[in-house]
Amino acid sequence: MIATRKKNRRVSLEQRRARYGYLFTLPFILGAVFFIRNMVQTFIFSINETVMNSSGYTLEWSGFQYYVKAFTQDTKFVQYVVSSLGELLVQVPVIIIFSLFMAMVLNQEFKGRVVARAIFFLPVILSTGIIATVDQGSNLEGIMLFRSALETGEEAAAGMVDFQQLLMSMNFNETLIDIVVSAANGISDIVNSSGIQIFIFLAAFQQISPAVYEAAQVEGCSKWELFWKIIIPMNAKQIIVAAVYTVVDVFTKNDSELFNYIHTMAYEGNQYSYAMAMYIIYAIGLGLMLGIVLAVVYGLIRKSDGERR
Amino acid sequence: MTRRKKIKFGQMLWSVFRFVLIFGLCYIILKPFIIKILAAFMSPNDLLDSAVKWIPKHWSLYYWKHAFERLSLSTAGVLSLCLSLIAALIQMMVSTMVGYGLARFKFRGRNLLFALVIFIMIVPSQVYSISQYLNFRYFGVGDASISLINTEWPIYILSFCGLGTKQCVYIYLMREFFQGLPIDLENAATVDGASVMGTFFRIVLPNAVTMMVTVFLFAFCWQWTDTYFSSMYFTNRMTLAQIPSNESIMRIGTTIAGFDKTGTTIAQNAAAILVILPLVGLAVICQKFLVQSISQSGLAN
Repeated sequence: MIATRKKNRRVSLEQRRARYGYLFTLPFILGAVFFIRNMVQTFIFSINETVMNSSGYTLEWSGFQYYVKAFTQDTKFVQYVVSSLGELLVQVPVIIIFSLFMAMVLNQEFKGRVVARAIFFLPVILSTGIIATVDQGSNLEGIMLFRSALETGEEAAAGMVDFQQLLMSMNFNETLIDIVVSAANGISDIVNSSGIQIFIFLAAFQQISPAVYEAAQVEGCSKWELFWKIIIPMNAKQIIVAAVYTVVDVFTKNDSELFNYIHTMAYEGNQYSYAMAMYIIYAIGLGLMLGIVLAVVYGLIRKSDGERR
Repeated sequence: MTRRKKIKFGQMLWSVFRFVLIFGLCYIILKPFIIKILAAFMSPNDLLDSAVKWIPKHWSLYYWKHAFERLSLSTAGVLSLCLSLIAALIQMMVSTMVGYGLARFKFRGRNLLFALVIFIMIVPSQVYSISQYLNFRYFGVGDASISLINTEWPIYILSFCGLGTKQCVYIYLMREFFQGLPIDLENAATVDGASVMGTFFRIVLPNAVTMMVTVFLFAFCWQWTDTYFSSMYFTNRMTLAQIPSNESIMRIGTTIAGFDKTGTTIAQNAAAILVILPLVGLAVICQKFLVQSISQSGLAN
């Protein structure tokens, strides 16, 4: 008798805790419902012939023809998706390794460390939004270099003028120029998108007690072993956070070729349904990719964790 | 003796390498800003002078003045400030609540909800932007719908639902933080007879202040510089961040024949610099604080 009453009470306590759980997450439950509704609506647009007009939109059933079209007729779309997913596969590990390395460098003692850290943090705030939008419109660097040509009527070159043309005008080998330019652009891309990750790692390193390093050194641990057997496993969780954040950041940049293509399709070609179908395909591809990236990172961490033990 | 010398030499080599590396990377980060700032200090006559490449010959505040006048602080500035402050406040409170709920309470569907946090984080908002826009354009049920376009409500509503700019990242961070916080303190409070709400407000929140301030700062910065959502929900009003990229507003009168476009671009970039200037100050001041609070976030274990 007493036992059952106790059991009842415990269940009711759990239930009460669960109710508080719902209460605390209520705003996000609403958000999730809203999000799912938007996704469903996007899907409905994609399987209908959607026409936008001043009083809203009209739908006419068209089935999955746009999905078929995306894969069979549209050569550009498949190419863009593959290249943008491929870019992600390269960029995520490079950004994470780079930020781990930079965090270790910035964690050392040297003059001007505070200034260097502040500069590395700047892109977090500045590289998105307004600066990116202004740069997209017209690139000041190019315009400053070629302003007289630009204003005397060679308008067509306005968007193109950049470092590359400067090298061209100096009669360098063309393949060499391509390599130099893509490397230079790549470095600045990577530096500008590693701000938060560097800080996550920096914060983590400061939590590892110096005694750990000392002990490792006394035991004759090489720097390489120190990195793989102490620093990586102790920062496993941060690496996952940084990986997730990097994927988010790389994926949601709105200046990619793919997004421009879909955007033009929707707003200039008035093919809303097709644009929506492409977005849905992309979102599915994205979900799969993230799953793979996370699985690989978890796997690596578990492996190095296992070695430690 | 030789070994020590070797080590010393290695260290010197490393510090030279480190200096070059950090200097080079800082240069890469700062270069676009330096170019923008220097260009804005040029006088209109410098544009004609082909000998002037990056560094102005005749320093002037002409473009800064022009950019500052066009920013219309009394309308766009006030709108941006209110929007960023209120949205950041809502996002901070909601992210804290939801993060706590996900970290501390067991309930059916919790894992699903957390999976959705991750999923919403990675799905670019372009994917569902049209249906989201339509939701606010025809807000309500059936014929009783009203348009919320050109009001602040869409952004406030999205912030409240946890769907603001990058807000799922904050929810994720908050959840990690609360999972790293020792539960003993809360248990002690419960044993002493505090209610769940009492524990939350009197024990949990005071411990989470630094983290909350961090979220507030990020939310403020990202809302302040946001152009994507603002340009979707504001069509006849403008936030501060929307102005620099608007060529027709920033157009500079043809003071010097033929240098209209160059001048306009310089003014646009100067205006962008002016808009982000307060944030740079904020970043420099808060840099140390942010590192501390991220390390407190329980991300480490």
